[in-house]
Amino acid sequence: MKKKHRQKLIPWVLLLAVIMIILISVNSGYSNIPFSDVTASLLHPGAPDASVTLLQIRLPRILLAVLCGMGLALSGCVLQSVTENPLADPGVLGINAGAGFTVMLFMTFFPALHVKTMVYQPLFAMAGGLVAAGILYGFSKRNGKIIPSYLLLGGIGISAGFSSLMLIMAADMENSSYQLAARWLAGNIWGTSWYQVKALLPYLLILIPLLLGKARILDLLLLGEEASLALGVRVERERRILLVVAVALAASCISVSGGIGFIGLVAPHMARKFVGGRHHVLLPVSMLLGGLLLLIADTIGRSLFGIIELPAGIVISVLAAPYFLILLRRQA
Amino acid sequence: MQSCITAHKLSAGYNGRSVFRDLDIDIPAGKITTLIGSNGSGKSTILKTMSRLLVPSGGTVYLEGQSIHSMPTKLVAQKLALLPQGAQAPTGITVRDLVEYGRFTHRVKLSGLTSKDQEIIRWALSSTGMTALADREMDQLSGGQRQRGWIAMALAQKTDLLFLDEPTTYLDISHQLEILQLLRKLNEEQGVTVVMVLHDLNHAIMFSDYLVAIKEGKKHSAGSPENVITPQTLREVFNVEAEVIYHPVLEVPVCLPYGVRGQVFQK
Repeated sequence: MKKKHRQKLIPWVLLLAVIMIILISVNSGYSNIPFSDVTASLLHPGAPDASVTLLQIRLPRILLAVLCGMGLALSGCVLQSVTENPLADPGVLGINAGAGFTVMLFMTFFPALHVKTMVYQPLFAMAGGLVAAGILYGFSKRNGKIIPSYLLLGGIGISAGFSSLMLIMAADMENSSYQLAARWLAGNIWGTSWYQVKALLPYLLILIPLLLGKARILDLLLLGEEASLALGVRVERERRILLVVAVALAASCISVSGGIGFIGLVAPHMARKFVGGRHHVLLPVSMLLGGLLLLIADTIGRSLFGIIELPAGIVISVLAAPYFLILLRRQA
Repeated sequence: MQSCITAHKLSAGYNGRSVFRDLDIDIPAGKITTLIGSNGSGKSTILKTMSRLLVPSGGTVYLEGQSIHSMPTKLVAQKLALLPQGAQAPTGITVRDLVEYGRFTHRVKLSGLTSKDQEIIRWALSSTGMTALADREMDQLSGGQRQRGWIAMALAQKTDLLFLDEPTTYLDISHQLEILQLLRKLNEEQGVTVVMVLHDLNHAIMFSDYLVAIKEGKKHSAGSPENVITPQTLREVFNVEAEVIYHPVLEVPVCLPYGVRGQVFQK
């Protein structure tokens, strides 16, 4: 009963935390904006004296950090349940790398269209992510069944493969595109504008509800293939749908945020500790935690060294790598 | 004999290797049926194929006259519940959560539990004696309690047919008897048809109305325990030399082995 209480409270606490960090975040960074200006600009964005830095640079970036964190965490949580492996995550499974590769192709072949055609970038990323997931699915299938341990091994291989392809491509790039690609690969929400928010939002609005609606099926899938089939779940079909939607979600987030790993691993894991394993609570709490974590990472990266910005992806890796090692150790 | 589920010329196997071929089995309605046979004889595979977990390589399983493998998964789950061997609950799942999962096939997408669902969950918990433990997590329970939790989940499916693959494995004798007695009670009070695989022959005799002896993927014999359990069957199916005597209290056959593979034990 105590747990039930906590399950109800935690989403609200997290939501409050997200709002608070957003307020802190809009006010931190290289140029300091007085708090009164912040509130004034937020409340009257149309006013002539509204802060351009705030509304056109910081706010879209903050929103993107929250949205991408949410999407990546949700995707990771679903992938972990579908593969029955707590170490699964879009980064570990090579989906980030696959999506990264196609986004790089996009940047190379349509460099001029880059900003105006932001809308298409998530589609390219999805194609790459799905190709990576398809290769992985084929690799880890033995006698018609996915072997979870092969999924991780295959993911590491696919990740390495696509990463080296990206390096080869980068060697051939001109300097400015190379800079762009390198920054993007490090996981940077830098240089974002409302374009990216508009490009990402439609995909999120379709994919997130699809996954949240599958909470009950995800619960059952964790009982194992035979038990969930006996309870009436079309296991193979649901697994495929969930994989495709989770990959598409991760890829569309990555297409704007760059190669951010670990969020999809750490956020669901923390959420499971807070609220237990039932997906109708676990999925939204994972999302909120993911949004919160990426926002914090981006804020730290932006304000730690003054004018030099650390990419959020690197901050996340620095924070999450020890966590990942502890997780591995516990599993062994 | 009225049968509710029937295997007709059924064949199945794994990776092209045949486990059983051309098998005909009738499961009598409202009775407890147990499949017996040595390790690797194909009992579990038969159970899995008859409950549509495995796709047969030939033949048909008829459930209420329809081929079970062409029925929608959700519909089958409303008619037949199955407890797989060695099922494991994910961490952090309570008994009540698990029993709620049993309602999946009856629930409407995205809507909450109805009062009928709640009532059936309460009933499943109380008939398995799990009401007091409902809010405990599965991994905190003993083996016997956990198994009762799984049976409660299967009961919440509210089916007329209950399949169990070795429901007493890994339990001590008192928990084994407790589970079997629970199945007997469900059969008598709710009219649930039970089909299971058991390894302990004397338990199979004591708690079953109908036995099917399987040898190397073929039906050796089938019928009441009195008819099936004979020294000859035990020799042919299990390679065991045994006396069959009558239980002084329950008046059912009891087998007392005294040798294996033609070798007789010494005093």
